[in-house]
Amino acid sequence: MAPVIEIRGLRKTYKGLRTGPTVAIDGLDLDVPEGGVFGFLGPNGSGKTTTIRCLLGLVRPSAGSIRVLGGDVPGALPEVMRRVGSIVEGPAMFPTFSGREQLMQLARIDGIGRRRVDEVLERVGLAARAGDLAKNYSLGMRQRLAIAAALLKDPALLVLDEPANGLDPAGIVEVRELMRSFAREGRTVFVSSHQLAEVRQTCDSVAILARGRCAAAGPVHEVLASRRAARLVVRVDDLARGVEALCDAGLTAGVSDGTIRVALEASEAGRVTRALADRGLYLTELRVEEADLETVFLELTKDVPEEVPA
Amino acid sequence: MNRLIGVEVRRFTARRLMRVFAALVILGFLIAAPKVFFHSNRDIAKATVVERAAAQRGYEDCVRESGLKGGFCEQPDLERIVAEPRFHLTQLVDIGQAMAGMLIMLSFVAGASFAGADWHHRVVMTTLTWEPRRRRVIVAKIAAVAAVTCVAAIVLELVLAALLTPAAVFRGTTAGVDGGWIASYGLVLLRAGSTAALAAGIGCALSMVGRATAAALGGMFAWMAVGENLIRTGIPGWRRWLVGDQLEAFVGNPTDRVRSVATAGLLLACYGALLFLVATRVFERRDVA
Repeated sequence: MAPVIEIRGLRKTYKGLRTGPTVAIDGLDLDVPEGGVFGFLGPNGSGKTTTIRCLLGLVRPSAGSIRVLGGDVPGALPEVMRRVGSIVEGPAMFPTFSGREQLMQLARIDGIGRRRVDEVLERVGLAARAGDLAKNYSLGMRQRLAIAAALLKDPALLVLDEPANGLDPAGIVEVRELMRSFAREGRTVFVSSHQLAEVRQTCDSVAILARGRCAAAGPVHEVLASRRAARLVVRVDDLARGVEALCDAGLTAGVSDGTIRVALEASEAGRVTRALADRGLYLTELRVEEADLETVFLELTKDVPEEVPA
Repeated sequence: MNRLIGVEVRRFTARRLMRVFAALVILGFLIAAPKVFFHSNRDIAKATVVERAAAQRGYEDCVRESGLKGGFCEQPDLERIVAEPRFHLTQLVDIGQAMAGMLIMLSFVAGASFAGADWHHRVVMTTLTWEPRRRRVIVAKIAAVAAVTCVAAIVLELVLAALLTPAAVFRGTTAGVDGGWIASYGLVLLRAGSTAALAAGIGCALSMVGRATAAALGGMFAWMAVGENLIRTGIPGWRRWLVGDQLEAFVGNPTDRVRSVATAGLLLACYGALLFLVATRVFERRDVA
């Protein structure tokens, strides 16, 4: 299955009169598979928003190629953008219109009817306030309106740049549900975020960007596994005796957060149970330690070499 | 493309600034029209007596204050003084020409602020995610502001004419209003409308290049008030190429006309087209962030 987004050797250098050239993206390669939610992670200034702008044809790459939904960017953008909904850096509004009129203005560009406008307003929970001036909306409502605008085209690909920014916890859950429901319909959501917990709960695949380069990419569990040494979490009533038993059995073990952590592959968990049982200790918990996306993220973004001078 | 222009027209006409400008202009009309109506009258004899008395009084005051007679103070020829207190409908041509200057300035500001606000509110970015063909976006924007300001300028001129017509019909005169006059007044309206459209388009184009209303206003002020005046005084031979002189020749009725109306209009159109091409090229190549 062809990826919906293919990026090869993407490079973007901004020319600054005072600061000199700044490399925002430095040879990025990325494939986003069709269907599901793809998380695009990276610290501030890592090039996430610039990459999204390049995808949407807002920024001209200095080098490299981009294909979206099988079409070259920027050459095939007019056809591609009919199937792409997007939010870039928060909602941008026509200040003098109501929420519904905002969407109507956009809908008219593509010949979309009022019924579809009402549908998306309903879907994001803004139908009751659709007649209010958008400039009087709260940040969360504006964000929902922007999502509604992105959904108007009934897109095959949804590109969202930090869609949960400014939302309260209930709003964040709504956006998460919206992305998941969109993915369940077989479409693709490409979402940039720095809210790692959200990404963990929402995304099927991720790419982690650091200083303009892709530090890791793939399904979430693979990315986590690739950067984490195998460890088991063991709980027994007597932690000290448990550690002693495991060390005597030739294993590397230590106490952390009220449990014993053993450096061992999951497939060798039997060695743990045997070592403890031999000392009359019985397990109350044994599991593979779950990788922590935050830790992986920090490790990956720390490891990337320093920015190459342009 | 038509849909895009329609959307831009809708957004441009919905702007508060447009409504404020229209309200201020109409308020000015509502103040001026009754004043003209009540100042105009058909009693020429009485008005002539008043005017002659005023001239004689002026002469006497001059003599009394200066102590001279016949030399410094000129004796008025009272028989030659004939008052004209009537408002002539034919004066609409001069009034229309004078009003065109104001409409040009307002149109420029309206066009500049439209594009400037779009950059400020990041609407340009939103629009490009719906219509990525940038040439279409900027052409639609400029076409929308030009069309709206052209129509608005002509409508406002006609509103003023309608408000002043009672003064001519009931307390003044419609003498001289014939086919020839109507044609010349029609041309004044067309020239006012077209220059307002050009000014709005130029304002919009400059804002698209500068990405801010202030850039367009500042750039235009610097050129018209400083640049052109320096050229006008420093290199008088270049005067016939300056924008200000072309505008005056095309819309107004200057005593020292540098070009004919037609060539001035053509030159203005060429300047506008050149600026639009530059603005389009810059916008097509620019990173929108």
